[in-house]
Amino acid sequence: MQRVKVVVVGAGVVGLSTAVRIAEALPYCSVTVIAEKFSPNTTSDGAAGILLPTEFPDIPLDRQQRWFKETFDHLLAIAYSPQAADAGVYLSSGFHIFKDVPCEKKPFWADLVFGFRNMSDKEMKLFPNHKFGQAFTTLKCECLSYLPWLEKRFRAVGGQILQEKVTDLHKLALNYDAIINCSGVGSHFLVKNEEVYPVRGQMLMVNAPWLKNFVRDADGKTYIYPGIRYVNIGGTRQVDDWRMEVDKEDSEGILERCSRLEPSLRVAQVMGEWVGLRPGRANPRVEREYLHVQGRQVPLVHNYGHGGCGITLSWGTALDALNLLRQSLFDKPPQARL
Amino acid sequence: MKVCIIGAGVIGLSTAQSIYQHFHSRVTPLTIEVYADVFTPLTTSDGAAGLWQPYLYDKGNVQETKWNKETFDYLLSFLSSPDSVKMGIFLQSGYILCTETVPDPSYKDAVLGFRQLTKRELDMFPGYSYGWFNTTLMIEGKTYLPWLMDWLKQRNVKFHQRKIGSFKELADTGADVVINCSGVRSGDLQLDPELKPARGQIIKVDAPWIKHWITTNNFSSSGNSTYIIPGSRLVSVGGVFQVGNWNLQNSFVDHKRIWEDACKLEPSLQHAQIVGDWTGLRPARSKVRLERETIRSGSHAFEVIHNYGHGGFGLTIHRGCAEEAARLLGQILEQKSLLALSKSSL
Repeated sequence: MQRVKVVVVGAGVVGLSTAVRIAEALPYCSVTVIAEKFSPNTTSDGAAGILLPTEFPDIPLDRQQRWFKETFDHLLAIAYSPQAADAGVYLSSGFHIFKDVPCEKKPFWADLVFGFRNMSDKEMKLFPNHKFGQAFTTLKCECLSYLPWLEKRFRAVGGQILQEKVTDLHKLALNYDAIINCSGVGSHFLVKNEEVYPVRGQMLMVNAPWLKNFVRDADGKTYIYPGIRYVNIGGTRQVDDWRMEVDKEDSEGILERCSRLEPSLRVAQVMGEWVGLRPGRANPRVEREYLHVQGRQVPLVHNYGHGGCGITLSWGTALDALNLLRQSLFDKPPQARL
Repeated sequence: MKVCIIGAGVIGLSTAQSIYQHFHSRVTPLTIEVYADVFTPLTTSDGAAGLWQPYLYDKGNVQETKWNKETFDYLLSFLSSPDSVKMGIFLQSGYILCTETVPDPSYKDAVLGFRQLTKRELDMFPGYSYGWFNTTLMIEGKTYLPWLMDWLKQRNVKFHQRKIGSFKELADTGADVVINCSGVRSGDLQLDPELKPARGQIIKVDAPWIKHWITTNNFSSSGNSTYIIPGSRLVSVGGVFQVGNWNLQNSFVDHKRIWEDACKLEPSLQHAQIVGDWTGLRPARSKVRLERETIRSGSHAFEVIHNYGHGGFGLTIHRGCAEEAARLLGQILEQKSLLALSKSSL
């Protein structure tokens, strides 16, 4: 029996997670990942990878919780296995600090991380310019390790990889029975009428192995995330900014803000700088449409627009994408390609 | 006034520091000398993981709880200073695991964010049914000791590498006060049946993805509790607590047991690279000996201040004890009418 040919566009964390879930769940599918960039050159690779959701305005909260919980549980099992080091997944504790007391004191994901609580007075003294804070333990998932780990898992179930830049989904549909679009900020060009825009982020890698806890300012522009071989400090949130080059002023601003939060950074050596474009969108797009190609209806499942929450929601949105695919193959079994 | 300190581990060096801070401007001249047969990086303090964590319960030794807290607050005050990295001080969070429900530890108010572990967290640690989470300080001996030595050298404290045979030996060279910070080998200077070595062995591992310390308390086993403590470069994995064992050689049997237990507790260790083993002798005692003693030698008498027996919590308690030792020295100085009423001009 001929297998259903599925192609996943994009090899970042969303693309590979989706590809793995489909390949492992649907043995009657042969899955190919096609992308212009692979690890270590994807947006995911530079991200610190701290699992920390933001609330999207138009998606029911229980769906957002499900997306996060699914990802958290999946990564937690890896963190607690011998594969943790290979996959680059581990627990990370720290502080989420606010310059002003927020209205929403308990985010929707508070019960999904570990030990969520307000910071004590003694802890707040560590941050004299902030008035409120939350402490919790979450996970960190470093894509420089995790993406190759996912790719191995993908190939182990027969997944195929193609290095090619996709510019036309209709053309792609000529050769496949289903398309999963995980092209991140690339969807801006790939999909018509697009609401994806870049949110430029710059960050520095510093050598500061004595830092173990993360610190994130709730404004999202100052963070310190200790990693395996370096500490990620950042950041910026520049909407509609496509520049991939490092901006020296941004670096200076990052160093200054982060050193104010963590004075020991002043003696840390900067090892490198990196820029990535978050696939910004009002809400992640996880839904299915059909492409009409040569008399066939080819399901096109979108799974993009995760903003700065790609890693955080990767496994959960991948499951939704898998279910959308499974449902569409059931509703409209693929017809023979010419 | 000549003060001679025996021992250059964290206790000896920090005691020298406290004495300098309290008395250098009130006693002129004040000579401080440190005598030791080993210096950093070969002292017991150098090999210790450096986790600020007292034993669970102080067994009524409330002084020790007070000294522990004093040390924590003192170290915490340096965290935002430009010297924190040079001192080897940083924050780290972690898990204290127990095999049964037990009362809160003596130090719960000293550390940051102390709380019980939730059931979901305990699920990560099969075999442990109760425990706590908190954020505490790390104080790495192999960084802190060189920092202390530099601090002291800059203030003209002299160091002598030599093994001292008796307190009298130093008194004979002109010491007015001898401070005994000789740790586990204090018995060589004065018999103390309460002081015993508690041998510990640790495995140093390269596992930089581990960002939390884990200490365990197995109330059914005999004090050999597993712990995993990440440092600034390597992770220290232990442990054993062998009372009466003087053997400074690494034991393969201990290594195997420590490693197996640690990998059960933290499966991600299985793929970590082992760098080496280290063995040290904790100066274990029912309680810290921190007191004065007048020693008579013929018609001559001199003062000794004992500051030893800090078990596995030397780094944890050092500052509180150093300050207390300085206070005892103050008593001696007052009795000898040596203290200037106001600060003398320098």
